[in-house]
Amino acid sequence: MQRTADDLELVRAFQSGNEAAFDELVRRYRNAVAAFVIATLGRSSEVEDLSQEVFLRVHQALPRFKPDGSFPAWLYRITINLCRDEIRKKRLRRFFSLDDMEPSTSVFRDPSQSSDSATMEHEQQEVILGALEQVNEKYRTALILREYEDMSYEEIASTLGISEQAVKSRIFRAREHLRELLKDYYKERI
Amino acid sequence: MSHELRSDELSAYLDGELDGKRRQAVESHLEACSACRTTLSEFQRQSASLKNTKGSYLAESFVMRVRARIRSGSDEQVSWIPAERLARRTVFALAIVVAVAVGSFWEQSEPASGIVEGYYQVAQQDSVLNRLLNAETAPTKEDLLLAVMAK
Repeated sequence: MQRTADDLELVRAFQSGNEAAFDELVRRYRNAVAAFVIATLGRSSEVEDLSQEVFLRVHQALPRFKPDGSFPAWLYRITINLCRDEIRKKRLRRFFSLDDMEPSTSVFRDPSQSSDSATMEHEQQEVILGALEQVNEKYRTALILREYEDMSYEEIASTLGISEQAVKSRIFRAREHLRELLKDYYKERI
Repeated sequence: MSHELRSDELSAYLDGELDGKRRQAVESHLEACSACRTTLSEFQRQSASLKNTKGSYLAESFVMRVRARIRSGSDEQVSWIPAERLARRTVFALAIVVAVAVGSFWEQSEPASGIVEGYYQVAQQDSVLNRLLNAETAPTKEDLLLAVMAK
């Protein structure tokens, strides 16, 4: 969240017709958006498509964005809405049996890490993300915004349209649930 | 956590979201309560693990792919309809078709029943068949022919 001032300059530049400013915003936030999508929906081959979809929506809506607000908060609102649409679509497909429950697959790996050195860390990430998927979506979203973006409770409240007290409560509930889910995993690793 | 400490205070403490007075209260509680110290340390570990899952997933070329989709995407955007919206639209369209069909059937069936009723009334009073059945004399060939034609 430290880049907000620069972000707003880029937004203004884009609104004045500078398309390269939009590319820079994509460059900056691509991994944050992908990480959010993964944490919300699990690792899958759809992550790139969904991340692209987020930026397409951003591109469409950015001319109407008022640069007095927080760009990341606005970007995350778009990402959250898209993820919710995706969850609904998946439920619908599952309901009509168009496809089976799609298991989280590990097609996405951190390309900067070699497979040998990353094995343990990758396994840990899988466990954490697997547990995160089981946490109620409302609680999980608040926690991800906190942990990934270091957003303050006030910023999360503004992004999600809820009170700060609700943010505090959701983050705590997400942590409590995760703690319960990961209890055995952490015990084994002591 | 028993206690004078609210259950969500530790989590807010970890996030640096408590004001000075409440932060101090949590810190003094932590000195005395090992259960809360354990919980806090588990929250810290979990937080570090979560932050670690935020990796570099999309390469620089992602920017070019987004750009390419923006260039060619306007048609795609128009033609792409999410499954849910499509389902809703289909149900809505079907509802309209059913409503129109029921409406037109109703409209047609009203005058049709009127015609049938009218026919019976006329038939009883004036039809050739009625006259034939009520005739006192035996029907001729012409009467029978007229009755068949009227039917």
